[in-house]
Parts: sequence; C-alpha cells; structure tokens
Amino acid sequence: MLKVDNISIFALLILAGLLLGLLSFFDSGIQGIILLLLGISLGAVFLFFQYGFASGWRNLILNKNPSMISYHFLLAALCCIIFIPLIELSPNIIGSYAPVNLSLLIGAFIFGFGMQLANGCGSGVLFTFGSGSTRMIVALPFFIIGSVIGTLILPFVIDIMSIGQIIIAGDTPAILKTLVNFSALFGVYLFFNSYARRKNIKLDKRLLLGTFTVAILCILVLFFSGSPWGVTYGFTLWGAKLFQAFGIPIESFTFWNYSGPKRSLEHSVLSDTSSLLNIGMIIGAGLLASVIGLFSSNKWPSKVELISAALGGLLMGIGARLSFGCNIGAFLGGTASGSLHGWVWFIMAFIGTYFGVAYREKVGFK
Amino acid sequence: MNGKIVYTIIIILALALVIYDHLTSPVSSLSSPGQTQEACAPCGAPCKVE
Repeated sequence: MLKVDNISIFALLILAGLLLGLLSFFDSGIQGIILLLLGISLGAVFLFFQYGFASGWRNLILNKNPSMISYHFLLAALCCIIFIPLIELSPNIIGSYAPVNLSLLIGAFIFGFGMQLANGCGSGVLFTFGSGSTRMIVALPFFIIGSVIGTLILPFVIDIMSIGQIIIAGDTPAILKTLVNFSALFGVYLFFNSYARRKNIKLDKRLLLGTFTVAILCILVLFFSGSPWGVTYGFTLWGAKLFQAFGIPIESFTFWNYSGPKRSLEHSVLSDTSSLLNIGMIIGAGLLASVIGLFSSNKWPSKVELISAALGGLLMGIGARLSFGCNIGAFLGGTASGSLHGWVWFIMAFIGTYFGVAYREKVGFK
Repeated sequence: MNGKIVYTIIIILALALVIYDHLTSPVSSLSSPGQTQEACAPCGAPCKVE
C-alpha cells in the first residue's frame, strides 16, 4: 500500500512552487514571482489564523458572536484606505466595480447558501483544500464546474434590472471618497464591536493581527497585479480549459468571447493573476499544513456532508459568476474599492447564509 | 482511499496539467479579465454602464 507522509507532501509542494515560479518568471518576470509568493503567503496566513468567512458568519447567526464578521469589515476598511487613493491616482490600477442588478442579488444569495453547505467560501475552499481537507477535495471540483455553468448564464441576465455600477461618493475627490467609504466600513466594525461588548464577548486579539496581515497582503496584491485580489475567476478559467480539453466548445459561448475572458482562455493559465494567486494559496496552505502535521488528522466526512460539500461547491460556483465574485472579489474588493455592489453582495450573501445555516441545523451538521 | 494519497494524486495531476497548458499556450504578461477596456465587472463582462 502506497504511503504518503507529510515530508513527501512538503517536498512535492516545494517542487511545484519552484517549477511554477520558474515558468511564471520566464514569462511575467519578477511580477509573476511576487504574485506567486503573495499567494503562498495568503494561503499560509489564512490557514494559520483560520481566517474563515463561512464559520465567522455562522457564528454570528448561531451564537450571536460577531467577532469574526467584525474583523471582515475592519479588513475592508483598512484596505479601502489604500485601495481608493491607489485606484484614483494610478491609471494602471483598477477597482473591483460591478453593476447592481438581479444577477448580483440572486448570485450572492446562492453563494451565501452554498458557502454553509460546503463549510467554506472561495478563499476558505482554497486554503482548506490546500491543507488537505477531504471535504474540499470534493467541494473544489464542483465549485469549478459551477463557475463555468455561471459563465453560460451571466450574459443572458447581466442587464436584467440593472442600475449599473454605482461608486459611493463617486463624484467627490479621492480623499473624500476614501473618508466616506472608510467611515461606512469602520462604522460597521464599531457596531459589531459594541454589540460584542454588550454581550460580554471578547474579540479575539489574534484575529486582529490576522486582519492586519491579510490587509497588507491584499494591498500588495493590488499594487503588484493592478486589480484587487479575486479568487473565483481562476476557478472559472480552470474549468473552461478542462471543458475544452474534453472537446466542449466553451470558446463559442458569449462569455468566452468577451475580450478579457477570451484572452485568458487563449493564454497560459499562469498569465492569469487570479489563477497564479490561487495556485500560490494552495501551495502556501499545503506547506504550512505539512509542517504542523495537519494532513494526518484529515478524515473523510460523512456521506451527507460530502454530498452537501459537492452541492455547496456547485452553488458557490454559479453564484460567484452571477454576482461578480466571492467574499474576496465581490465583498472585500468591492467595498474596499468603494463600489455599492460589494455592500449589496454582503447583504444578499448573509441572507443566503442564514438559510444555509438553517439547512445545516436540519441535517445535523456540526 | 486515504485522503493524503488522493490529495497527492490531485496535486501531481494539477501540476502536470498547468505545465502542459503553459507549454502549449501562447504566453503573455499577467492580467485579469477586468483590466480589459470594455470590461465593467472583475470577470471581464462588458455590462451596461449607467
């Protein structure tokens, strides 16, 4: 019987990192290496701090504990201080803007529901998959399939009930725009903070350090890639390339004829920022997991949990494409860029999460 | 099957696929679909701008 130990996994991931880093360097130069390293850091940091969205939101609904969700808003507030001025001042840096429309409402709701079924969001699936989670070994392929399905639907629904992109304080100078958006995000953080104090819940100081670390990494990603960190487009591209490999003419569908997706489909997966960061995140989480011996404790969950993970992955994939991203690309990237769609995404995904938590309770998930 | 073996197989397969894709595709500088001119969403969709 083949035996795999943590040292073998560590060695494999180091080899993967070196090979892909080298290939990326040959084509994208130092930028490719930096983004791969940033992805590796994000994977390790998310795993080290257990920086989850799905569990944090569930904790608020089930235990009235706003600790984690408050830090999510602090994270967005910290990012916004640098994001908005950078986006305004540099012509090479773009924000995460998207329209407010029906597909955003439905997609975010579906994503929030799926997130609880799979027990992880976009980044959560990545870093827990990287650390060998057997549940995510099932959820990730379905996430990928779902996101390709989402690309087939999006072009037909994108203009339904659309009020277009709305940038909060959009007509004001950069400093005022930053101040307005920071105040809104920091205000929500303070609201949850005071709620926790009223309930005598102590906020986890370790997560505060995690929040600052993630914020620095997100700012570096924006600076070096030219756009806010996004997770799910990488999945979509991987799925589309796999569909093509199986002879499905994905390139003939409308979405894949838009110039951005068309370009990424035609070029190497290592030319896509999201893919490179995702690969790095898997490697980073895997390296840390192999060092701390996490792989040894990963057992297969029950059949119901595996089916739910598959369904959750599928729903998150469809939802992410319909709502222009996940907790990272739509919520964090959107709100930190000053786009209203990020706020709408949060509200709808939180409602979806509420129903997802109810489902978990019904089927007896821990 | 042991989760660690499944994980290792997936990582090896994925690595082979990424390298194959890289060597058989034209390469270009890094970018995101949202960075194209007509895109108004991060995924590169050219949605209606009000």
